[in-house]
Amino acid sequence: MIYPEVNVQSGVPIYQQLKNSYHRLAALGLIQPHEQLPSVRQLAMELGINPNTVQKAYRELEQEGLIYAVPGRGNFLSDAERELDVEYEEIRRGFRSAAHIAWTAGIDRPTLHKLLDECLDEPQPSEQER
Amino acid sequence: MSSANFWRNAERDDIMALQLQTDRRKSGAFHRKSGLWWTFGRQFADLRSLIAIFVFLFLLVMPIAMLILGREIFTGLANRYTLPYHDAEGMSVTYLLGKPLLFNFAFVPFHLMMITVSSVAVLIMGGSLFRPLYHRETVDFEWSLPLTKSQWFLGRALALVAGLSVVYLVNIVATSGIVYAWGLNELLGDYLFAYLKTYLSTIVFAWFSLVIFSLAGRLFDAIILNIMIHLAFPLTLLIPFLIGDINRQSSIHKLVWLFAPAFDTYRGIVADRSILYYVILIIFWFVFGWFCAMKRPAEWGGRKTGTMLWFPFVQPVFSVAGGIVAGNLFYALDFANVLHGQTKLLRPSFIIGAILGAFLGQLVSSAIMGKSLQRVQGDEPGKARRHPVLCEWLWSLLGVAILYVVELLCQVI
Amino acid sequence: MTNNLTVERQQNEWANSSIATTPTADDQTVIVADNLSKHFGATKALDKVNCKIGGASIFGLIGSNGAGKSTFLRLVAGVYRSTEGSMLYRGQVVFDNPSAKKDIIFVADQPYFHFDNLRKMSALYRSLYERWDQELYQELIRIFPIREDQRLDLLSKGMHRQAALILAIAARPRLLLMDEAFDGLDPVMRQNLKRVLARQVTDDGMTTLIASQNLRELEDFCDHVGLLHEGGLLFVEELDKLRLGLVKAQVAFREEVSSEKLMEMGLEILRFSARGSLVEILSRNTEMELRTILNQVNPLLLDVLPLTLEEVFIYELSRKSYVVSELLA
Repeated sequence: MIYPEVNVQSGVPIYQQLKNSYHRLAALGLIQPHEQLPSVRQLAMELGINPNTVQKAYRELEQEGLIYAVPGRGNFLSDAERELDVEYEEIRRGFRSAAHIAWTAGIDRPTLHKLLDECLDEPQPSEQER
Repeated sequence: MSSANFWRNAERDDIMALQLQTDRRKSGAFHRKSGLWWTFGRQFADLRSLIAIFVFLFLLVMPIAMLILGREIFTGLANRYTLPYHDAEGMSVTYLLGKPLLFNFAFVPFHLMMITVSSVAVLIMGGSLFRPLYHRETVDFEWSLPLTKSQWFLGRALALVAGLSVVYLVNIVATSGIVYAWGLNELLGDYLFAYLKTYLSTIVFAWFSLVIFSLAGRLFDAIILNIMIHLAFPLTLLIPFLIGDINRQSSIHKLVWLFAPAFDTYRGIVADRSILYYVILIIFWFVFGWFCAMKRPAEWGGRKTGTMLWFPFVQPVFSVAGGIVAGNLFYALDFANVLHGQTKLLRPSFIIGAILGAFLGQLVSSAIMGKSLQRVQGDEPGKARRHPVLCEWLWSLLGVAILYVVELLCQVI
Repeated sequence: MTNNLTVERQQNEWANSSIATTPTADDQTVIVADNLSKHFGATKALDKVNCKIGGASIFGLIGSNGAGKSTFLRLVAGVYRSTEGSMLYRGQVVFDNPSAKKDIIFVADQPYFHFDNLRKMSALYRSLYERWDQELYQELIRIFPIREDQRLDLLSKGMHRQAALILAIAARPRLLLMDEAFDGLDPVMRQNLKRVLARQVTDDGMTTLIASQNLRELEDFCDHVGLLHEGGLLFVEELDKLRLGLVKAQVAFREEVSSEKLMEMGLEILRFSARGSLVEILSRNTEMELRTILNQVNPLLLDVLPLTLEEVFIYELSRKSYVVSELLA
């Protein structure tokens, strides 16, 4: 069972971090659909966080459709299509900005693609750094 | 966020089932003693070492001292006074301070020593039992436990009585054993009866002390205030007596002994107080003490007693005592009074002495009890309530007024 | 027009802040303070406090020295009696009421131990609290390592607190009151404490009330907080909701943009400070709103910064005086 990580120092609300974590874990395929998530108790005890916070995260994830609850058994990752609107919008904004700069500077599309590949190959900053 | 939401997740039914099992198992094993039994048991257990010390001290001043004195001397002492020491008409033939003795004189020195230790025992055992009331940390702990104030107070009171009873009992058993072994059993009858009354008078003193322990803010204050009250009242009788004013037999003055129960234990040797007298006082002080304990708020723990709201109303005791002492002393020094034949109360020497003495009594008691003498300030826990010096003058004048009322009443009654 | 609406909303919120509730169903309400006042002579330590605290919550009571936190805790614990109003635990008055107190354990700032070792203290608690769990106790003395026979008066302050916590938690109270929970504990013990508390919340539905001056420690652990200031309860709110209403951002604009213009665009700016080309904006909006509004001017840089609870409280407090000055103006 995979446990998400949170950073209490970061200033981002913990329930938000949990949600983001699960979104990412799901997106990366580190949790499979219909796989069981840690219970509120387990997660709160493991991370030393408020069970109400975990509860809130799970409730919202359920509302968002990422997970579903089976009474008496626990929470499980759903296999529904995940909403990635926010992420898509962010990415679009970045791309638009880059495209605008490229057009202004006269950089062509293949070069832009090469730059994009280089970026994707770079290591991602971990959750702990902001 | 209701906790019902927790149970929606996973193991709800398992946890609930486990919980029920656990609770059932625990409540089967747990039989809760009654609160009073718990507090009494706790207090009495805490008192163990003090009880042992005082058992030893009592044994030292009485049975062991008697053994050291030796059989011959003791028997000689006992026989020096006619046996039986009441004559044929039931008139007592042995006197102490002009009053008939209630039992054989041979016991008297030991009995006096024992009473002294007994009074000390009341203060020390009582102080030890009540110490938790005088610190914030201990009050926090005690008052958050699932016990009522009533249970705490009764537990303490009963522990004090039980402790004193153990001490008294061991002592009398040892003493009786020795007297019996020496073949002087006939002395025991009267002595045992007097011993019982002494024991009761000690309980009266203990219950009286409960009131002070329940009202004081610090342990030091409780004990010193107790001693001060005991000194103040009899001084009002003693000083005038010493300077020759023997007219102190008024009923008003008898009331003095009510407020100095520790001295009353000494009077038990000669005064023929009935058992009923002690029982009534025991009930009265106990009820009053319980009442004070119930009223006492947690925030008094650690506060200077001089800052308490009730303290200015107790202070007249000290200003009256100071006034009487100084007034009589000045009057005694005023040699011109024999010529004038004026009543004492109207003599300038007495008046000046009374006023100065009252003020001094007021100041001294304020200083000892931590009542500060400056500008009035707001009241906070632990902070001394300050009074202007003018206020102290007014209070001491009240003391003088009470003094005069008392003296006038005495001459009338 | 925005400003008028803002002021009005602020005034309404302030008027309601003395009656603060956590959104719980009534049967889950554990603590009710009803018009509660505590006076020590002329000093008003608490003045007409009204609040409800719900079950299984970890509630942080925050305030500066002398704000009344310790007084409030002691009223809940039944040490103090209220001067006016009442303090109820599950509908019963707490003061001098053993049937309420048997569910409540108070860990004071300076814990007092009647006996000088844990073994005897645990026996004492065991004889008074029927929910005492001996196995839990054994586990706790391993987690917060203290030997049962160790002399408690020789230990440091942090160890005192650990000992007190062991005893308190092993008694399995329904309501745990802590005056400064984490003070003196090393980081490992703090984490252990959080884990243990988390477990008690899920296993037992235990409600926890922590009074502290230290916002940093509470802000990542409490789900609700209440702010006490000079004897008055300013508000009680779910922690995450508090953060929702306030946002801080660092922005680099392409061209000069005035705060008035941004306010016209809908940004409720509380603070606008320019440092060189960077502008720090603190506004009463959600992050989404802020981003939407600011992106309209196409900034070079837009970074939403994490807001500490301390900043939230400072602005809540200053908002109160802000409203007061508005009323006087």
